[in-house]
Amino acid sequence: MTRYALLLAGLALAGPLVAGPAVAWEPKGQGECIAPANPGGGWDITCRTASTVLQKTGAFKGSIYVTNMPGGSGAVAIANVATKRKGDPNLIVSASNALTFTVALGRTPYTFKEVMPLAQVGAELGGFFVRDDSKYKTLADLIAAMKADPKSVTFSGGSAPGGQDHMKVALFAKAIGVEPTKVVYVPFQGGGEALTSMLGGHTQVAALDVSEATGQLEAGKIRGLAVLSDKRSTKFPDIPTATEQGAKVNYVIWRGFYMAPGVPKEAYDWWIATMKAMVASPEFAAEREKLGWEPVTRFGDEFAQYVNGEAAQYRVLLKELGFLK
Amino acid sequence: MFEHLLNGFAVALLPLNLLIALCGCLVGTLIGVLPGLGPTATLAMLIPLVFSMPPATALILLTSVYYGSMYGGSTTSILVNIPGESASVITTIDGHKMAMQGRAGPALAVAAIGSFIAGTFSVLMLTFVGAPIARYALLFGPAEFFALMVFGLCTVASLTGTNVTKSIISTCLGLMIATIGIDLVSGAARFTFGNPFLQDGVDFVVVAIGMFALTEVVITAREVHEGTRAQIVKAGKVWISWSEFLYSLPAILRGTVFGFVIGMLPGAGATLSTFIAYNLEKRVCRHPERLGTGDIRGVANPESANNAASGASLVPLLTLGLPGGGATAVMLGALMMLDITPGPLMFEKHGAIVWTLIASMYVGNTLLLLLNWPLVNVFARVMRIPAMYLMPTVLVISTIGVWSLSYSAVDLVLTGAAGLLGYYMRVNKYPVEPLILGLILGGRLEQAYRQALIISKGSNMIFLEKPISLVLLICAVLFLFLPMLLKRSKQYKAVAETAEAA
Repeated sequence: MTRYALLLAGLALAGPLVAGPAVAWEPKGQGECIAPANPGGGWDITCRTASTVLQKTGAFKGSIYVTNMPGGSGAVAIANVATKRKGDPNLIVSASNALTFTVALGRTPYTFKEVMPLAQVGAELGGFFVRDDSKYKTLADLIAAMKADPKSVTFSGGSAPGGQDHMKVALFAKAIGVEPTKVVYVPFQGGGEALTSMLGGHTQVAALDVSEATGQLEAGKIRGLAVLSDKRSTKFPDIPTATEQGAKVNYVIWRGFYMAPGVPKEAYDWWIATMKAMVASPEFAAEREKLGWEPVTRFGDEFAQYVNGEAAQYRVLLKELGFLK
Repeated sequence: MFEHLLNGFAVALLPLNLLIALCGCLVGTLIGVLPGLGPTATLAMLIPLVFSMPPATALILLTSVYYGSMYGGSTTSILVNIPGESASVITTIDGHKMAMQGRAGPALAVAAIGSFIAGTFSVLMLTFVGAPIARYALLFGPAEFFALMVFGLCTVASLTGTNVTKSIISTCLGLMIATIGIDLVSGAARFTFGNPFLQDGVDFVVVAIGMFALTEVVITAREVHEGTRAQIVKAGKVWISWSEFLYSLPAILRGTVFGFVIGMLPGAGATLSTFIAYNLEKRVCRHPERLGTGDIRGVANPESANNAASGASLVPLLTLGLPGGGATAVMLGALMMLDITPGPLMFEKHGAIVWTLIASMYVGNTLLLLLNWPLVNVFARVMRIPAMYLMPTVLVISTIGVWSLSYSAVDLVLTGAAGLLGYYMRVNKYPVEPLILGLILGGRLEQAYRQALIISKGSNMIFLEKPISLVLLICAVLFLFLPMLLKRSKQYKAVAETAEAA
């Protein structure tokens, strides 16, 4: 009953936004979502979730197929979209902070200004995790150890230095007044390997996304020292935030979409309205729950400003860390 | 536990699931046969289907395709000297020679039987002692991995019985190609010439197809043109004889054990296990000189090893929730999409599904053996196709395989370049297999080395301080130099004896 009511509420909400008289434009034919990575990864899941929900709710009439375009952490896809797909109103491309890094590090000549940022549909929280028998019981223990000797703690993460997981460690070090370049960060290919190395005791603290740590957290094999956000995780409200424990770090991983440059205004507005309806739907809420995303959203200009600001902010930090001249 | 397993069988043997498993095995086998499409790529392509299926059925499909593609990989290695995937590179050495001697049937059959035995062994281990032994995977940190890979590369140096120096040169070439792309540690782009397609490095498939497929086609064409092509012996019996089976059984069992032990380590994978298993086989078996000349054990051993390894890589995934890289990483993604959080609690929280999955592995292995029985007959006939029809087909299929990787012309150009290099190497008797292993391991080797150095704050002593790493490194040195020393002492003895006699 409740479910049915929720569904009705969702439809009532989605209805006027999608079919309302204010939005005249309607997509014709098939839609496409480019996932700039291989199937199974975060970008692929973002595309497939959106495509499934948009079709299930009838927000997109017709089908949306997913194209995988891996290469250069998003560099191949953004180059393709910015040059060859100009003005295509049926195309969306999935993205996340990882693309901001590709942009900030200058690994592509294109930036968010050459494409049209569309929407953030969810967020993932990052955090620091240790083995259940670790001597670091709370973040305070870790802070004390790092202040005494930054090199005494070994972090592992699933990205290259200068990438997402390293950034968590660097921002944390900065927040507690430790020189970020002095921190020992061991890069692994993916969060799974970083976690394995921490579980095996080869490294001490793993910098991961909460979703990557979920299985081990539920089993009590690892402990979350902190999530790096202003708010606690909805799934693991027991893990305190870093800010609560005296290290002001707010570093959230967004998941969203951009569109090709030169898309007509009506089409762009239609997609914004559709994305707003999508994130409000119970179908999407169910998927979000599954993926462990937080309901944080941004649309249109607000989102564009956010990602451009983020790229600038990363550039400053990457310079400080010596990854950019 | 038996009750859980029986419940699993009850679901896995439902007509729909059985049908899905059969389709999966068939599709997997065919895709494994096609060069270019490996198990990882195949699983990745199936991910979209997973969305529309009940979880148990979806997992049955994924595992049966995974198993099937590991079975199929050996087929092209044997028939046309082109490995279907990286774990079947070693199989080309003896497999193709067998086919040229008219023994394609027994080679294919022993690959199927060895795979069945190894696959079933892995699932038995997973069923009964999974979690405790999976913990041993955690012992391997960056330093231990580095030592393991050095050991793997050193065994290869004495691989095909050819010149050790040429093997080492070939290995180094592979390691050099592996440095192309974005360096994981510094984030710097190396040898990419500003091309985004090269940022992710050179795929193994691109090089392997160039070196094996293109080279094979060109050499065959040349031999046919010059009239020097060795006549393929008319196929004898199609299935394997009892005595051949008994002869290869020890090799199957050894391959199974080595494959399992190495395959369970995250990231080491099936390919490394085949190289190490084959070389250890050479040290311990009777008549080692026969290996490399078309010996059936040279197919039985690596094919058992790679199937044991692919089964073993599921052990840490299912018991600890830790992916071993490659195909298991894709499986991890699929599990998450099915709302199954991989982790130590998987058996408790999703017991029914996990046990169904395990039951379906037994079913899949059996189906594959039954499926391969008639297929051996079909595939063995490929040897009767005249080269003028077979080789162009190989060329077309290989090109499509390369193109399907990332739809990039860059890959095709690289394949061409690899073909040229491969041709030069074949003509000058440089073994190609060490290059392939160097390429596959190079990235991981360098990464593990640098990870270990970051952990040790720059001290190389870490490799000698960790016991596992120390033992592996000593073994590596022995592997590389012992044959030379033995040879020298024999020569010395011979010289001394002649001196005495005189």
